[in-house]
Amino acid sequence: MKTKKQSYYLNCGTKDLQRTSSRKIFPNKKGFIFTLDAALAVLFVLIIFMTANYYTRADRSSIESIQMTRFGSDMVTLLDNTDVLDTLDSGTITTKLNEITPNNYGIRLRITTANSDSLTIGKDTPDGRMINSGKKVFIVTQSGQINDYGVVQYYIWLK
Amino acid sequence: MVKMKKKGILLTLGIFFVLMLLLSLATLMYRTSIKSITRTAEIEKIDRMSDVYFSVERGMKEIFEQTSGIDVNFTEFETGVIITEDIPNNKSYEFNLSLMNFKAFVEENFPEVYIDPLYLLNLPLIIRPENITYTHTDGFGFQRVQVIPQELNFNSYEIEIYSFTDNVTGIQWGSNAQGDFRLKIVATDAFGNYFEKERYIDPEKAYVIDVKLLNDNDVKIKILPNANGMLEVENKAEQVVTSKISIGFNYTRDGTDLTLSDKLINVTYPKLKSSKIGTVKII
Repeated sequence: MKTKKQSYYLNCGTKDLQRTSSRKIFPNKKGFIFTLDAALAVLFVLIIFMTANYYTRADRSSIESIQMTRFGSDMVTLLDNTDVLDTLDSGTITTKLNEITPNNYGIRLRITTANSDSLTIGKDTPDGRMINSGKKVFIVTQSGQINDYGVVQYYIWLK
Repeated sequence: MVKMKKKGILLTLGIFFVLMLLLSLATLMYRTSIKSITRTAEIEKIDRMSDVYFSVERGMKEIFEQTSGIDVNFTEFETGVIITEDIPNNKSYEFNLSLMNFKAFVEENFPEVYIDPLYLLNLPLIIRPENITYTHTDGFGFQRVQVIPQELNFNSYEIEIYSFTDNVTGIQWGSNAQGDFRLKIVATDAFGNYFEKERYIDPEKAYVIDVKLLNDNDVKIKILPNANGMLEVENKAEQVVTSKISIGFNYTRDGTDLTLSDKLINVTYPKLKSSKIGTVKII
């Protein structure tokens, strides 16, 4: 009986179609609702994924930022521990800095001391990039004597 | 027909619950990410705080090593701590000056940092976890040093007194009470005189040992009674002598540190409602 009805709908002409209700055009309405439901579900899931991705990307960038600041701090500590900062010599510090800075990072140091020495080392900070910075204090010791106190401010960014 | 209606209600309810679940998940995720962003921002600030703290600590350690005239080390097999300095310590002025200059410089450049110089008046050195304090009772740069233990968790003292200018004429031991705590005194001078005495004593009893110098001057070494083996070395002579005090533990060192006094460095971030208060680790 069911098969007969279906074949009737399939074989009907244009005039018949105009007369028939939508129920007749989509006789398998369960399938239609199911598809609609699935489409809605996919839409929801997509929205959720996109929202999640947006926020986790924001998280990732803050974690990257922390990591970058730590990296800059480590580099300055290395310069301090190897007594390179004590030289207060732009050439020596630049050489060591180039040696320890990975290619994908850019770093700039600004050193000022209590005796009014001032040094700027490294490349200019780029525009439109996330630049992280930090500040440390250090002691200028030369030949076992404390000669000066300094502050080193570092700026670090991804190239 | 009734069956169909029921199905419809169930479907609507089902979709409603699924949507509610999705909505709650989305809200949860949103809140978590907002929290996470706040937390990472806080971590970044705390990182900066500890960055500043550790650089100040390193600076103060350098000042101590370069200007205090105190040498601290572990014994050969790391079974004790050795502290060597002149009594009175004529480097105290240089140390205090360097420290005050450093304090002024740091506090000017880092308003969040406060270094409390009061904790360094007697320049106490704390051995942890044994909790033994080596301090200058009358102030750093004066005639007397003390070793103040909180409990008897060590088993020996070795004290070496070296005189640059006066001849050492002998060691006079004041009490003969016996015990199982090792006390060794060595007295030498720049003229080749050498005296050594070693005894096993009771650290809860009083002992006074005189290292005799020429012209009736002496260095008094005292074990104070009922004070867990508290030691005092006082230079009564006008000349400077070098004292080397070795404190022996009951075991090989494992995680023993020597620090300056607590609460020396204070880094505060009121906006974060957080602060880091700490000391300077020397060894």
